[in-house]
Amino acid sequence: MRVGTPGFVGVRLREAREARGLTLVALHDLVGVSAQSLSQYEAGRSSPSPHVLERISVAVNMPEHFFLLPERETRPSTIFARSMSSATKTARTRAERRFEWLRDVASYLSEFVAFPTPNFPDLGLPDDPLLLSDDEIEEAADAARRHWGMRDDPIANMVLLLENNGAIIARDKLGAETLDGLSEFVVEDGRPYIIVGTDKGSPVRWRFDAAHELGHMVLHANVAPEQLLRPETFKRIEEQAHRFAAAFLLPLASFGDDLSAVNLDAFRALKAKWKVSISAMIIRARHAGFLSEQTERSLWVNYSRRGWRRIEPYDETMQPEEPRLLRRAFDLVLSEGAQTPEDVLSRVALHANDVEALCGLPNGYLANFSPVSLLSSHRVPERQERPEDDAATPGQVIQLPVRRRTS
Amino acid sequence: MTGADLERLFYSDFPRELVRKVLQNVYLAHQVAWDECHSRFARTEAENLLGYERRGKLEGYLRDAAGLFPGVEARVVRSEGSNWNHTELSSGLFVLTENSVQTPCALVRESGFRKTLAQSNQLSMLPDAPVPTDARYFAQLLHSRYRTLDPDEQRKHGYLPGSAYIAFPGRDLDSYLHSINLVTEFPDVVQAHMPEEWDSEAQLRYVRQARRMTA
Repeated sequence: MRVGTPGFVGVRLREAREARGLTLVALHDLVGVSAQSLSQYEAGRSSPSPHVLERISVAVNMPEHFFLLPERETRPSTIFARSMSSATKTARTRAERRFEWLRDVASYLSEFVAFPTPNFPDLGLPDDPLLLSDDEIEEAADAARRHWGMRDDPIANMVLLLENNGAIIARDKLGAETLDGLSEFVVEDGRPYIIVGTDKGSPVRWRFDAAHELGHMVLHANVAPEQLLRPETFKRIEEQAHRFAAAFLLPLASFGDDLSAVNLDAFRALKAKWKVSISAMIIRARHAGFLSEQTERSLWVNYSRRGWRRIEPYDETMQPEEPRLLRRAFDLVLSEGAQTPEDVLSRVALHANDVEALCGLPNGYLANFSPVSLLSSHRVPERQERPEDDAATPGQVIQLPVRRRTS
Repeated sequence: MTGADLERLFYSDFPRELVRKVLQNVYLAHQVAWDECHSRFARTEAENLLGYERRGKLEGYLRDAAGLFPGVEARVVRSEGSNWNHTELSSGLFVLTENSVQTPCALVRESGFRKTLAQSNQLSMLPDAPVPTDARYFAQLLHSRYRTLDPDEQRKHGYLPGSAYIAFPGRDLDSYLHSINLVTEFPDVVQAHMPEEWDSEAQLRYVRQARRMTA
């Protein structure tokens, strides 16, 4: 009689497989167990032997105890993904699985650190996105700025703004160029979770993606999951989030004031200031009525001629906006000794590479972590036994570093 | 008509927002021309070409800026007796052209088209003279390069304009009836283009240098 693994949870195998973007057949190739058996494991109709589980664990790069974790509670979920095309279905499922992991890691860290309290505007917009007009989207972007007490200046760091207001953000490879990002407003903790895809793009593009996800949080917080399944609604929702992002990053009055003329040199100069792509600024200018159709056509022709469809000016020199919240949380939890790297990996039941990738930690961070300590040159000097000095300066007082009082 | 009347009249035809954009475009043209010339040529050749490039850029930008303001017409005019084109922005009573000068608000050398435009000028500075209804007034955008005696500073910040004025020449082009210093008129635009490493003293020096030297 075959011996299974007590406590094995089939849906966790499916989760791990999907997170790696593997089909049953591909997993069969890696593990050497038939696709049918793997399917049986996933359905919970049988469980793998400890030896097979070990092989599966290696194949999908997950710790064995991951497969013993309880099944996730099902809950209504409205995850906004930037593409619903069938070509990216596998990638989207993969991304959604990683999205769950991001929530797991954040939930674990929240036992030890207090993340910023979520502070996102609730504008009381209609549940049906088809009822939202372009003017209302402009107003919503303006209201979001006012909600956070912002003026109409360029936003220094979009990712930091979202994190400071309670969003959990990760940058991650989503496995498909058509999938730019995902976001969800998680009801349990009232917090938005956002993954910005880094498979392609540029620092300004990723920044725009973060603003796009904010658009979903502000405009579509009450959209029901089934509405996303209707292609016309989905398309409109994406257009709205895009329009919101442009309006949020480029407030009409101040952007218009800064735009000295409608030409590529002027847009190029503004890119350095507003940190928005030239293409997005052209579209914004068209929506704002700053340019005629004919002018726009000629701009796009010149845009291509300059080779900017491939790469725009400053794309190679601007730095991406890196999320900091989870990284700092890890620094704090580990350096204060609240948890060890082993505790982390045991509790979140993920491979160290996944934790590091999702949380913006350097490769090998968990394996090589050592608590921060003061350099020896800044430590209190130890008194050295030097008889001649002792004789010359008896009773010398060693100056201790002064600890600054904090109120 | 006094200088203040003339200025008011000018702004009633050329909206302040447009004049503000004109100054933005002076900065942009100086910067882009500098970058393009210095990235493609050795410094000596870049210096030779800079004036042409800057003029080409600025005239194009001015036409693009005019496009943002209904009622402001931009056109390219072939100068009489030459193969040169120049750009004229016209709105209401005023025609505006651009000229590069050596020092802030210096006189522009005479040319056929300027002479024609200036002579059609009906401007009078007599306080009580009424404004003729069929008048056509000539205004010039004058801009100069930022100059300093320190060669390192010149290399670093030579892309800046040194001054920008809207000036209203008399009929003989030998003096200005009135001028508007755009650097002091739109300090926010100037501030937005100041080099990051300049402290407030350096910025003040820049603004002082942008002033017309002689009355």
